[in-house]
Amino acid sequence: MSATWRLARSGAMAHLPSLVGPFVVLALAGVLVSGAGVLVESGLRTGGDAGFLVALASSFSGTALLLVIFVVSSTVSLALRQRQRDFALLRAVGATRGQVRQLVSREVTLITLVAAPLGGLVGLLAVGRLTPILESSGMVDPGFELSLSPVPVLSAFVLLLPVAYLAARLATRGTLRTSPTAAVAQSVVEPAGIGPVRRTSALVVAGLGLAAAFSPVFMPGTMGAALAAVSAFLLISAAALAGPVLVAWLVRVLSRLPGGPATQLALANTRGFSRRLTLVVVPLALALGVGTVQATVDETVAVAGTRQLEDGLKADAIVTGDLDAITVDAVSSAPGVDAAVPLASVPAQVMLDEEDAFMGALAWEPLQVRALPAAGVDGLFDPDVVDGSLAALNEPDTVAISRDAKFEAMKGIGDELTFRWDDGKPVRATIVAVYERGLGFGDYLTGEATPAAHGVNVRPDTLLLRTSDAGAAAVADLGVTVTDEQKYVAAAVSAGDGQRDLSTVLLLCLLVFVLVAAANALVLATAGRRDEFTLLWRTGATRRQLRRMLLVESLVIAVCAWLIGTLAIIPAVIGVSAGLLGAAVPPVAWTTYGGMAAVVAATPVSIALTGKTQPITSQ
Amino acid sequence: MFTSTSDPSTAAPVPQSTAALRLLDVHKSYPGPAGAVAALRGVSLTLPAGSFTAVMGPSGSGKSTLLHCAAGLDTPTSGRVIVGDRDISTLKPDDLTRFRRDHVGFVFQAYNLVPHLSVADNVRLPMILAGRDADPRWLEDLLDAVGLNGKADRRPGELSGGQAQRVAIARALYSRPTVVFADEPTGALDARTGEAVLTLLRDTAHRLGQTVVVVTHDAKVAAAAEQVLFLSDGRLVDMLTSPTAQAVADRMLGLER
Ligand SMILES: Nc1ncnc2c1ncn2[C@@H]1O[C@H](COP(=O)(O)OP(=O)(O)O)[C@@H](O)[C@H]1O
Ligand SMILES: [Mg+2]
Repeated sequence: MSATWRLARSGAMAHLPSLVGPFVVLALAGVLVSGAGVLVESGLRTGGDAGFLVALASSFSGTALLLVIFVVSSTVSLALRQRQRDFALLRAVGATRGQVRQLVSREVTLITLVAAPLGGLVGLLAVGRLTPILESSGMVDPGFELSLSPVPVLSAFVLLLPVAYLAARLATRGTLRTSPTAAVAQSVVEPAGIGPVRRTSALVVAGLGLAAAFSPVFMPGTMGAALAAVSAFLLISAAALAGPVLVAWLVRVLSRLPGGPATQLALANTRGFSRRLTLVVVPLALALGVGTVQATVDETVAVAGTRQLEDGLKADAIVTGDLDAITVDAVSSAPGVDAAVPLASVPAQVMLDEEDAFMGALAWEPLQVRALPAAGVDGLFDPDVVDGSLAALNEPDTVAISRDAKFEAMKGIGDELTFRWDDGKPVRATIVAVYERGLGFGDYLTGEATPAAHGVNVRPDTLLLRTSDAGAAAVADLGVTVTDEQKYVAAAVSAGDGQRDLSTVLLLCLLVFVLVAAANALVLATAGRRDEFTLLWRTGATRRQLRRMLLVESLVIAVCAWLIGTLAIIPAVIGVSAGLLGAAVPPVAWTTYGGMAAVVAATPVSIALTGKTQPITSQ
Repeated sequence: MFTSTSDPSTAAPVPQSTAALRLLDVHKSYPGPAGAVAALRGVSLTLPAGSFTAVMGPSGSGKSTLLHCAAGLDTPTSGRVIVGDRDISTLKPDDLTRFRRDHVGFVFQAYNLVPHLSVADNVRLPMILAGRDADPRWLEDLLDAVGLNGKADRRPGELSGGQAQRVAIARALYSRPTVVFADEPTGALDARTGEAVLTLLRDTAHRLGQTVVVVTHDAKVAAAAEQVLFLSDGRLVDMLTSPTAQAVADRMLGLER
């Protein structure tokens, strides 16, 4: 066994308590990654409608992965901080920087070897609990079974290993910058400020974050919204990079507060260890920021969708249900009905770019296409066409696409998209119109002729009526369901609730992960300070003062996290609402924000109240 | 494997001599909040091989900085440091580390040992890091010499302060380095233990023909050295050969006034 392996193993054994943190976080990351993996795999194997599942699980995996990288690296970094002296000593007795790096990487690899498969297994089993909500959200058919295979567990491992390795490399950077003589320095004081690389990265990431936040202004619909949702993450990453400077500044502002000796001590501590503080503040800020922005974006998209539906529907009454030709005729010819426009909803799959074909099932995006009647919409249905004309939809193999879809596909009028209708054969369709209200009416509209040409039995499920109140009553007498526009919109919007519930559950999983990491960071940061507590105790601090000191520190942490998290939310909230709703009061998800803010405050405080401040009194 | 002669490109040629350590006009300053703080202001010295030198001076006079620069733990701001026949001031960090492993031993005031490694592993650590397997006989002899026979498998936590410093001394001597540095190695020990540890360092080094530089505050300890260097405000201000405790104490009083 090589020397470094031996040292790594004995180091890991000796520091088991401080490695519990990274272990837990890596295991949880394993749960997330393998859980997402199961969803993707099940979606791929099931085919058909489960394509929604693939899309959702892939986007979830993306976010999860970003968070995992972030959280794992900050936890590893925190765990290793406590051993800086050991590493400095090793360097003093002749370890090269490469050897220290290797040592740390190997320790972390050892942990990942155990934690990732373990978490992966748990994820494999736990994800089964999502089946009911998957069914109720309409993502999968009833009776759906997840496919369980070793692949997700394996992928958790394969994915987390490089992440942990990278995290270890990043974490050792700081250690390697300090001189080996730090091992014998009387006290370990953190270097003030940050290096030029870190400063530049912070500025660049902050710039990207702001650009992402305001992307809905330039990018239509869900694309821009999705990008904006990432902005909080980017801004908080920037805050993490600039952390020591930012936190030091915040604490300087806070330290003007008056207070007793315990308070002064706590403020002095937070000033002296702004790096350590950053590592505990950032996960908390992340939970607040990411949670709120995701919820706000979802809410704004829903509001914008509602508004587009309201603006685009001009019907006096709307008949819904499974409508056959006889019913449609009966309603159309009912007394008082001036016009009736039947709309159908046809399941299909679209491939935006034929170059994506190599991705197999992943290249096809499943969706519901609105099919408009050959007789036209008679002004009752207005998707706000900005280019081309809906009349052209009467030709087979034509579609109208939303501006959102146009942006994503990077195609325009006269270009072609590939669809799969009921028969599953890929066919091309020419784009004949582009419209604005994609959030309300969906991204694709077609004429009845197109799906009918490919064997789809186009059956209307909605009938828009121009009529009087008396006419509506007469239609109701025919025994069909009649609603007014307002109720129709409300029902249409709440149809998405199932999917929103599912995203909420997934978001919650992510937040739990981040919060566990945050708690973990706090515990680690406190555990690494027993020597300090002992020293203070010997110098004459009472237990009560130590506890008070920790409490004040935890409040400082909470306030910093709250400030950073809140500041990171603002650009995205403004950007999304400006982009999707125009000039309007941004619909902030206040419940989520309030809940997360409470949790962010409660986490450090409760850990401070229960944490061990016991000085080492023996010896 | 890296040896003192295998890679001439990384070191300037230095005239052959019997000196174990030479410093040529070494300056060292640290960045401070109000500009650079000069810790060494032009120190030059030559120590013959096999000599035992004490360094004394008031607190903050630059003794530790001198030792760190001479041992290659820190790089001087300017000037040259030559260990044996190798100019180490031009070595790249990792080359310097490899050089230190083989040619420099260092004993710190405290916190010398990796807590989770056994006494034997701590002593062998530089060689473990060099990837060289050592001679178990030599390890045993050395532990014997520092009075730690039978304690090879203990952990540092199970040792007294004096024993821990003996382990550190054994480690510093283990690679048969060109120079051994000790920075107040007895500073954390009581007077009797401290004296015993220093006597041990001196005798063992003498038997092995080792060059030793030790920073101390104890005039009696310094008197046992072949020469005493006095440092004040980053400069070498005085030197005594064949010192007596009284002479050393008088010089120190003069410096501290
Ligand atoms: N890492 C450092 N950063 C800044 N200043 C330092 C550092 N190490 C030493 N100094 C300063 O250099 C001077 C000499 O320190 P040192 O060599 O430790 O003195 P001694 O060991 O003689 O007490 C002191 O003024 C000290 O404050
Ligand atoms: Mg000193």
